[in-house]
Amino acid sequence: MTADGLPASLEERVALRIAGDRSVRQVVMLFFGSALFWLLIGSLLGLVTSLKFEWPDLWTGTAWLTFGRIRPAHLNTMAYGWSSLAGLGAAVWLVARLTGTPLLHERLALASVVLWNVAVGAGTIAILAGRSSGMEWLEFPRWAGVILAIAGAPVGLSLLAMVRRRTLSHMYVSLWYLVGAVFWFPLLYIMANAPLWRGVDQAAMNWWYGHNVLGFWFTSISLGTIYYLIPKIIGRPIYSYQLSLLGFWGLAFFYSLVGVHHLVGGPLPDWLISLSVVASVLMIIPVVAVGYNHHMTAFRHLGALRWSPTLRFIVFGAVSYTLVSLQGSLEALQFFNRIVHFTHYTVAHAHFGLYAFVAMVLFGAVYYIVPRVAEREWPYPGLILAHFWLSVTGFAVYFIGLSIGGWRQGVAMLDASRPFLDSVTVTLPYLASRSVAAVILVVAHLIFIGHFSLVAMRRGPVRATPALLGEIPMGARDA
Amino acid sequence: MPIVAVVLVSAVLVTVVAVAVYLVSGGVSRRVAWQEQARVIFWDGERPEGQEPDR
Repeated sequence: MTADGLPASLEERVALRIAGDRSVRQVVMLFFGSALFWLLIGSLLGLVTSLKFEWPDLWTGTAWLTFGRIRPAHLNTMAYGWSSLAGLGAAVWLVARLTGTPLLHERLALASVVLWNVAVGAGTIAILAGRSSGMEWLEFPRWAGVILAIAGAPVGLSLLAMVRRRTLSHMYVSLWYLVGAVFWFPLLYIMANAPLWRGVDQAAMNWWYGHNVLGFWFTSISLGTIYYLIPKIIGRPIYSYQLSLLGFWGLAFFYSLVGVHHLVGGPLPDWLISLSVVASVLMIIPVVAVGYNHHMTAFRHLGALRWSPTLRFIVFGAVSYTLVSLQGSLEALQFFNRIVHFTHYTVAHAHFGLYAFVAMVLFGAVYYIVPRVAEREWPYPGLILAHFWLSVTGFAVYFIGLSIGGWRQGVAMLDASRPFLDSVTVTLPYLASRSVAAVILVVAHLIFIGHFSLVAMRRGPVRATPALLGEIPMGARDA
Repeated sequence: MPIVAVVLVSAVLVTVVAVAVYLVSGGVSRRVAWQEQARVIFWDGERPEGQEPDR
């Protein structure tokens, strides 16, 4: 045995790793499987939402298909259904690997899978039935929010038990983010849903939560995943321990203050708005630290992008994190905010974060984790390639179109000599591009879900070797 | 003018906090930490993606 309590021989450690992967199989596959179900629902809701900009009278005779219900249902299914469940699945696997400990309290984790899905299902139905709370990111009625808050606790306890009884004493940076997320999310969600806030306070709390759930929940899980998978895929440790400290604590200190920049120009004290703008600019520190750390780790090893399915998604997500965060700091500045606030530009920015960063990282994580826990390779590498390029293309069409359209919309709204309707008509071609992008993304997701289903149901050809996107050059082996 | 003030204050805070955090985190030996991290990630003997003989 080593000082860490690990077996001394490589064979025994490999056996321990395989046993750990098997211990999380059921929980991880259920988290991923249900996440993909919500990805399908959320994608279709997003497509319908987009089409309603083209044809405003589409299905207006059916109350639950009206824009005011479909749009928040899209947001909540994608955020709490797809992203959160996939993130939890990845977190369970990552914690087992990083602690050298098999899954503990499996029933608790399974209870979370069930309760979380019940909460998302009930909350979504309530939104579609017209029972939305009306607060963005918190549209689930309070009773559904209570179920969601309770749902996270069992798997959180399971993860914390594994960390507490970990075989490996050193806590790797990914674990900091994952443990942070386990504490931060319930804290945020319970505080935001507490029946204490009224009027302006409620608006401030709404956006304190709305932005923090991105930084302390989705970002934390995604960064934790990136920090583990990049070194794993290229076979090289992270570049700098200090930079990873700077990135983590910078996020922890500054991010909680940034949310109020969504209310620039609103009826809030100047100091509060200024503080959020300053914190948004301060976020440049951890973002650059994380980006530089990832880049220096992968530098000279990016050749693996040619064959690694996971690395393609992860690197795309990691680069997107840096860019979308810097864009967010810029958007908080008042001279810029004045133009883009209340426009489609902000919608493009939100999708840059939640899709190009979070979803792409989670796609990569699913591609890496599933063959290991299911002990079955992805049958068709071509489908992974199609998923990647359709996702990239769909996102690019979405982002570029809505960014330009949103900017032009903002400029038109600020021009007092133009009628307000100009700010609507100027966006029409860009809204059409969004619908095209939505169709592309739905196709990408259908491919992904179909491919996952084949592995989960153990159908399709059995591959003896990992599904790679290309041949590994001889010189790159054993790098 | 308020924008200029916010940017200037932000720049000063960025510098101060970055230096402070860097100095605090410098207490951990980079070499030791690097080795620790390498051990935690690669303890399981798994090869880089696509080169795993035992998956």
